[in-house]
This record gives sequence, C-alpha cells and structure tokens, in this order.
Amino acid sequence: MKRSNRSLSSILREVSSIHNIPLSTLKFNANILVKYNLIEFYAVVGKKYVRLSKLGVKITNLIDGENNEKLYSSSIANDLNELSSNIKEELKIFLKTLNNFHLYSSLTTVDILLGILYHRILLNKDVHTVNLILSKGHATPALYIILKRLGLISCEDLDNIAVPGSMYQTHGIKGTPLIKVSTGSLGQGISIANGIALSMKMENIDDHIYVVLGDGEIDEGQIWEAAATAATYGLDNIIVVIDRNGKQLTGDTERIKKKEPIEEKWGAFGWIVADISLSSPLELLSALMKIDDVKGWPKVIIARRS
Amino acid sequence: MQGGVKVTDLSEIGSFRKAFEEVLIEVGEVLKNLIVIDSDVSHSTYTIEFFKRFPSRFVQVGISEQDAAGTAAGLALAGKIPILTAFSMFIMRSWEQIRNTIARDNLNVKIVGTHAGLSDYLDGPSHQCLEDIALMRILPNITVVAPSDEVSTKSLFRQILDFRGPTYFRLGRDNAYKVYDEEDDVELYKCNILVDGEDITIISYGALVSISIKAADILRKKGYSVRVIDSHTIKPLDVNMILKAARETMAIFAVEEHSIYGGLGSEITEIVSEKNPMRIYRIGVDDVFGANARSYEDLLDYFSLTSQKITSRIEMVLNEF
Repeated sequence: MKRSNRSLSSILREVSSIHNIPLSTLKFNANILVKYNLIEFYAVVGKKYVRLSKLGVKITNLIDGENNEKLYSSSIANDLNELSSNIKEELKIFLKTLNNFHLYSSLTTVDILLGILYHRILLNKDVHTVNLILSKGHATPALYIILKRLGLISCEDLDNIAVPGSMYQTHGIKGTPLIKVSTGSLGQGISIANGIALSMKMENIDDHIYVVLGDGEIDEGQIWEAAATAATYGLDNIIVVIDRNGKQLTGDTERIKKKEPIEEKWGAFGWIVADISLSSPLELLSALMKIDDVKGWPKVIIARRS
Repeated sequence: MQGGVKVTDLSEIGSFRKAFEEVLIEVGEVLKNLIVIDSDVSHSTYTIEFFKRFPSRFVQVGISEQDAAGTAAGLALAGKIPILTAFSMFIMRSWEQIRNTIARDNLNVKIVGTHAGLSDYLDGPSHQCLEDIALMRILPNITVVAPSDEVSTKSLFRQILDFRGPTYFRLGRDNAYKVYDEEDDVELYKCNILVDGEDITIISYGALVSISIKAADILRKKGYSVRVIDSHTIKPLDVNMILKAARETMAIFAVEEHSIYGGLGSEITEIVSEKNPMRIYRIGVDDVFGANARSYEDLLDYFSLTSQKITSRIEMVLNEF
C-alpha cells in the first residue's frame, strides 16, 4: 500500500496471491472501505488510482496503536463494532436491574458516544477532557457502561446507580467523569453548549463541544432558540448529533409531533447538516471527520437509525 | 445605622436600573470575566451602556429567555461570571432552566431581574412580577436579594459578586426612593434596622422600604413606636434579627411589592410560627394580578401600598389589640 499510484485491482490481485484470499472477498471488503471513506480514488493522467483517505490513515494509525496507547486500555477492543455490540449487550443486562430504564434510547446512543470519543482520539485529544453534553440525559446509562470500559468508573460505582445519595443517577449529574453539566430536563443542551462555546471563542481555545440530542427532544422550543443563537454567533466549535431513532416516550416521533424535514429545518436555521445513516460508530466518526474543520457555522449530524 | 432613625419624605427619587447600569460598568472595568447576557431588552434594563463599553463581553440571544438562562449556565461552567439580565417577569419564563441547571449545578450565574413588582406600571399586569420571590426562594442554592434604593443596589450588587453561586437580584424599574446615604453600611445577609421601635415591626424590601419608613413616621406622630427593618437579603434570611423583632414587639407587618403568598411575609411566618408564635400581617398584593396605571404612585395607591394606606391598615390592626 505504500507504493504510490496503484490501482485498486492491482493491489487486490497482489493481496489475493500473497494471502491466498479469493479476489471476490477482497472486492467486497474494498467496497466497505469505500463506503466508510477509508480509501479514496484519485486520477493521474486519466488513470484511476487508490489510496488511504485522511480518515483511513488515522484509522490505520489507530489500529496500529501509534497514537493511542495511553488511551486504549487493554479493556477496550480495537474493533469499534465489536466494542459497540459488547457495550450494548452489557447495557441490556445492566438496565434489567433498573426496570429497563429508557433502554432503547440508551442503546441507540452507544454508537454516537463511541463515535464522538473516537473522534476525540483521532484528533489526538484527551478523552477525559471532552466537552460533551448528553442533552438526552435519560441515555446516561449508555455513557456509564462506556465510562466503565474506559476505566473511569468501577463496577461498584455502577452497582450504586439510583441509590439515594450516590452520584451515579439515571440522569447524569455534573461531577461524574465526562459529564460537564447535569441533564435530565430536555431541550437545554445547545443553550449550555453555546455559553461554553462563546467562552472558548473569547479565550481563543480551539476545541469542539459535542451535544447529543434525542429526536423527540427537538420538540422543545428552546432547541430552536439556541439553534438560532449558535448560527448568529457562527459557533463552529459546536457539533450537535441528533439520535434519529424514530421513537419518543409514547410512540413514533412523526405521529406525536412532526419532526421532518429535519435536514431542511437545521439548514434553514443556518447550520451545516450531515444527514447520515448510522449502523455503527464508524459512520458517525466518518461524518465527524468530514465536517469537524468547517469554519463559520455550527454543525449538526442527523444520525438515522434504520 | 443599627437602631438609628431614618426619615424620608419620598422626595429624593433615584432609579434602580440607572444604579444597576452604573455599578455594572464599575465592576465590568475590574472583572474581565464578567459577561452580560441580554434578551433584547438592553434599552430597558440599561445594560446598553455596558454593551457600548465592553461589546465583546455582551451576549445578545434575542427574545428567548430560556436560551438566555442556558447560555448563562454554559458561560458559568466555562469559568465566566454571567450576568443574566431581563425583566423579572420574563426571567420567570426560564424558571425551569434556572431550577434544573443553574441552581441544581450551583452555577455562578447572577440573575438580575428588573422591572419587578409593580414598577412597570405602564405595561400592566403582563409585565408586573409579583411572584418572583416565591419562585426563587424555594430553590436550593440560590441567594435572593432585593435592594431598596440606589445606594443599596450598588453596594449589594458588588457583594453578590464576592461569592460563587447562583443569585437572584431583584430590582424595580425607576422609583427608587432614597433610603441610604453613601456612607451607610448595607451588608449582605444582614437586615438593617432603619427605625427603632418597641410596639410593632414593619419588615420590607425594595421600594416599599422607604414607604414603610414614611408610614412609621406617621404612626409615631400618633403615638406608636414602630421598628422598620430592611430585609434586602430574602434568602438566606437574617433569622436572628427577625426573631428579635418577634420577641421585642407585639406584631410584625411584612410589606412587599409581591403577592402575599410565598413572599417575605410567608417566609417570616414560616420561621416565626415555629420559633416564637405571634401575630404576623402580610401587606402586599392580595391574590390578584397587577394593573395598568399612568404612574407608579397611582398603582401603589390602587393596591393600598402608599404610606397613608399602610398606616391605616396597621392602625386598624392595632385597634384590635
């Protein structure tokens, strides 16, 4: 792969003969790489060559452990998908003891949180200082399981969830690792992020602030007040991810209150919008890598769970 | 000051918002991390001068008070000292944001509600906030302060910046009848006895402090010895001073530009009834909304909150003794 200007079929033929893997299997895998923007095509004098994309390079480094030894404890699997499914399984068991507290909402939040934390890792920034606001606070259990994987909280801490006086509450509170502000009341995340983002701009701090919203949550009027404020100030350090899982407390989102067309609405409010289908953390990661350095506008990713 | 005799003829009238404008610029010069947040009322709250002086430290969120409260929370989380400014009435619109984020996370947001009580006479009941003390004092972590004139507005505003924690600072619009001289001490958390007396006590805050002093003066001429206390810090209340008045005088009259439900009168009743049961009378707005008027004085008269009408009410009660 290090040799320059090679076509995809030439590389695949070589790999196939060296490792004795059928060419059809390699082509299938290559399609996945293309789909996730890990490789990209380019042309030189009419010939089509392939190379690793910016994301692909970072992922390769990641898998090689070049930059991330300190961030990856042995408890974290390298494979994001495997990690994601493991966390979801653990979450299901964990929430059984809590009467399945907002289980579906937590499950669809896992990939989003992993995507955000890996984005942080790819940018070579400390995961522990991530500016994260889980505005859909009822999905905090998903974050707890991830925090446990990161070694930031213990099994005993998790045993104490929802015990009076414990800091581990079903809706997360300020002071818990990675929890910037207490949530639980919907609709407030972007406003709070705006305040933090404005302060970072005032102090010339170059960093992102991530807000995770539920799709039901955008019923709240404050979301749109805040969306307009962020656009007015051009808060390009804010990245909002909407968990478009199609469900809110009492049923399907479109039946309860019309949300669509979400992409157009955010666009009309002056946001850069990425409307993606999400079935693994990698898709979010890929979208984050594409939009993270866009200047001048706040950014939103609509993560559709099909 | 303690036990001194204050006399007022209500002729020296300052402006709460003017005093706020001046003290805001004064502290803004010193505290470089002080940020003012406005919901498109800077010409009325008089934060416009701060904007002209420090444009980069002024955040305009438009007519959206809930967003304003959240933005203030974020600024506080990032280490700034946000001054959240709006009409008191419309700050109440963000009560839930104040409750769930600012108060619950004990964030250092200084909330300044102007045009409180009946002071916005020309806008009428939609703008006249008679519920804010009740709504704010019920929240854990919050300090509630309501200055009575220009001097105390400036002094107390400087003092609320000396500690970290959410604070609700209640101001009238104009009509700040003079109570204090520049050299008087107005100390946060401590009631001021403005007039000493042994028969009854009037406890008040805001613009009605001055009016209460005037009422005490009228009553004194009729032979009653009336104590007048300015309870500018409503939460935490100066309980010792209130209980002292309960022990030393035979009745307490709480006078406030607020609903008689949930305000200072209720707060005093809650405390005194447990520690030193006695007669407490709540003088305020009795379970009705405000009213439109062409002057503040007309409105006070309409709600029986002038010094004359307060005096009559107290006399009526005293005749029952």
